[in-house]
Amino acid sequence: MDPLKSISAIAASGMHAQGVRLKITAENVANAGSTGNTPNEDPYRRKMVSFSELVDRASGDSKVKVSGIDRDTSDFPLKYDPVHPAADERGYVRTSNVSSIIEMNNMREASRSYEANINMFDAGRRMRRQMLDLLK
Amino acid sequence: MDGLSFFNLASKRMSWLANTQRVVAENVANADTPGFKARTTEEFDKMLADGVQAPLKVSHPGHIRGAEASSVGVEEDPDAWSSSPNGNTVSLEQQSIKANEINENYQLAASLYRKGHELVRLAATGVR
Repeated sequence: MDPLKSISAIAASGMHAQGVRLKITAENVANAGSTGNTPNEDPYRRKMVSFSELVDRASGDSKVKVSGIDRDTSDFPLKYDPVHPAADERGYVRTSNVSSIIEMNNMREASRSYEANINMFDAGRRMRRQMLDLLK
Repeated sequence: MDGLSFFNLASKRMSWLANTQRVVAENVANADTPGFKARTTEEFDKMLADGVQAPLKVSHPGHIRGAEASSVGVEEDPDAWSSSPNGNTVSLEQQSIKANEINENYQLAASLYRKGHELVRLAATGVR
C-alpha cells in the first residue's frame, strides 16, 4: 500500500484510540461522586484503558488499538458521613476510587497525543499534495 | 539516457521519505502503547546500495505480497530519546522534529523532480 495513504490510516487509528481514552476519562470524572445506595452496594469503580499495537496484515502498518477497558481494583476510600444511606454501622461511606488529579493528567495526555496524531495526518496530507503538484 | 536516472533517484528518495514518514506516524500512534519501541527506517544510502527487494510472488490476487509494503528496512531506533516506566521509548517531541525534517526533504525532492522535468522540456523544445 502507498505509504502516504497508510499515514492517514495510522494517524486515524491513533486518534480513535486517544478518543476512547478521553471518553473513559470523562466517564470517570462524571462518576467521581457516585456511591451505592446501601452499605453493601459498591460505589463506582474507576475504569482504565490499555493500548496495544495492532499490525495490519494486509499493508504491514503498525496501528494502535484499545486492547481493553479494565477496572481499577484499588480500595475505595472511606468518608465519614453517618446520615448517608450507604453508611455502614460505624458511619463510614465507601466512595469511588477516582482521583481527580490522575484523571486530569490522563485528559491532558490524551489530548496531547491526539494533537500529535492530527499533526501526522496533516504532514501526510501535505506530502501527498506536493507529489500531486508534480502532475501540474 | 543516463540523465534520466535522475528521475529514478528523485522518485526513490520520495518513496523512502514517504516510508520513513509512515514509520513516524506508527510511532506517534503508539506513543502510549506499553512496551512499544520507537522505530526508524534504514538510511537512504543503505537502501540505494542494497536495492529494493522484490515482493513475494503471488499466484492468486487474494494473496498477500509480503515484502511490498515494507520494501524499506525498518529497525528499532537506536537514538530514541525517552524511555518511560512502561517500556515505551517514543518521544513525541523527537517524532515531530523528524516529521518536519521529512516534510522539508520531501519538498526538496519534489522540486528536484520538477527541475529535472523542466530541463528535459528545455532540451526537447528549446522554449523556457
